[in-house]
Amino acid sequence: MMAGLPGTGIGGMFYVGLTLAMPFRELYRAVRGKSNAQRWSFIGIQLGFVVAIVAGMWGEAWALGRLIEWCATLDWMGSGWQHSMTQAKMMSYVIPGGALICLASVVALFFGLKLVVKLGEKSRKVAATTAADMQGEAA
Amino acid sequence: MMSSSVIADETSGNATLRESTGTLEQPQTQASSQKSLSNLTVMVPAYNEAASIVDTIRSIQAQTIPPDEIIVIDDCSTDNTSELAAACGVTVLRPEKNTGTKAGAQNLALAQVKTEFVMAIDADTTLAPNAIALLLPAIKTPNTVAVCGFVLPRFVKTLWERGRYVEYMFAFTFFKQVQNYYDRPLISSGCFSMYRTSILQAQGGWSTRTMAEDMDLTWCFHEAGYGVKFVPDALCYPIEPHDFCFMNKQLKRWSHGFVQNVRLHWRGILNVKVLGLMVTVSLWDATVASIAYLFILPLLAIFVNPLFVLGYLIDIPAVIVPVLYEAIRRKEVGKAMASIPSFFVLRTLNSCHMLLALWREVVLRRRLSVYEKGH
Repeated sequence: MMAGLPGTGIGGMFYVGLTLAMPFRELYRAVRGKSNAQRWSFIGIQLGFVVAIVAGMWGEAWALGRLIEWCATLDWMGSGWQHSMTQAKMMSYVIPGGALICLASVVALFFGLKLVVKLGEKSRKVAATTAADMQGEAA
Repeated sequence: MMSSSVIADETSGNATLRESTGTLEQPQTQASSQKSLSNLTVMVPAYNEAASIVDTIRSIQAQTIPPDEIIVIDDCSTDNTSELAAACGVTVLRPEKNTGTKAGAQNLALAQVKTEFVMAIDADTTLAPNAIALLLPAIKTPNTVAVCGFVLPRFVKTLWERGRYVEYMFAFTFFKQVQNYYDRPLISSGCFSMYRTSILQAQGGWSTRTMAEDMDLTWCFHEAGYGVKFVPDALCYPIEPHDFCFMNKQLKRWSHGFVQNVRLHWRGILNVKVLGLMVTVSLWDATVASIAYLFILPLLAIFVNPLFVLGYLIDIPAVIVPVLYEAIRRKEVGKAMASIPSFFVLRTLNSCHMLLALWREVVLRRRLSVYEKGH
């Protein structure tokens, strides 16, 4: 089964990020003698995916931009298309930028939650120890 | 023609249909004449799987390294699943009453497994001939307790099968490989996974507390510090939902299963490196991306600018690249490219189910507990 929505949203970006981190992790493993050629070959393929994906998305954005410009030259909607071009240009920055900020926020939220849970567990332990000590003293 | 007999298992109180009848054709016996290379038992839970059980059993028997035993758990089918399975020369277990879930059926057989390794495979799934041979080295690596393989739909004809085909090609080529690199496959697929029997038995087998018992088990293993691996060259071919009704039931089960597992495991997986982050991102996408996909983009397209419709196409390269790579390797480029549009239809349905599952499980607190395969 697939959890989440493959390809959409920040999930794809997250896995791209994990893939970009692979060479650094593998270098660390290589220093400790835990790497091999097969693993590097696998990383090469995954990085190839990332390069192709980024190139594809850039190419797609470029093609869509040219399409909108061409539609503007036909003057079907008059100034409407100029307005659309401006908005399309804005979208091409806002959407990836927004997604990156989103991803960074989710990662920050995750570590924040982890910290909160850890502190909560610690304070529960301390409270339990204190209660046990007090019971012992009372006895 | 030999007739099979029903043998009452007095220790468990279950009636079991034992041993072969050899009626339909001369089946390959269960590796009795071969030295055991696998130390493996394969379990096949089945409920009304007469249409596919024989193909499944045959594909297991045709493995380059066959298992020591094949057990079909016939969960009180109303068709002739038992008879067909028995005719293939495998052990058939039949409980007195329906266990209610796939997990329940599998646990029934798990108690009887004596081999070091055990494999669970769905009754509508066939294996590539070398699937077991490829999984065995992986399960034997230290600390590894579960291994899974690549899943591809057996039939790719209808819109829904095509959508699922692209979904699997994408996920197993890109996402799962990355998860595996970080030693954190999110799910050891329930339709095709191999386990260390002793660890699985100590774990209590598959739990029935969620609708996605494979995810529950995998996350339990991760939390306990055990290794789970993905072997991309080990292939299996399940029959995927071919129509809307069937797909609906499956997605409902999977979506609820995901939410149930997140609620159950969230504390535990926070401490599992990378896994917690993967699940958090998946949950975010399941929620926010679904809302954007279903509501925000259409509203923006209608009320602000029609160009917002392009938002549905933005990640086409992200999907196409891994799918095309794998399709070229498998010489299935035409099939893959023709199936891409179906993926976006399936993804829309998936979004609906995710949001509904979150709404019912989290807000309404109405837990889905009835396991319905859908056919």
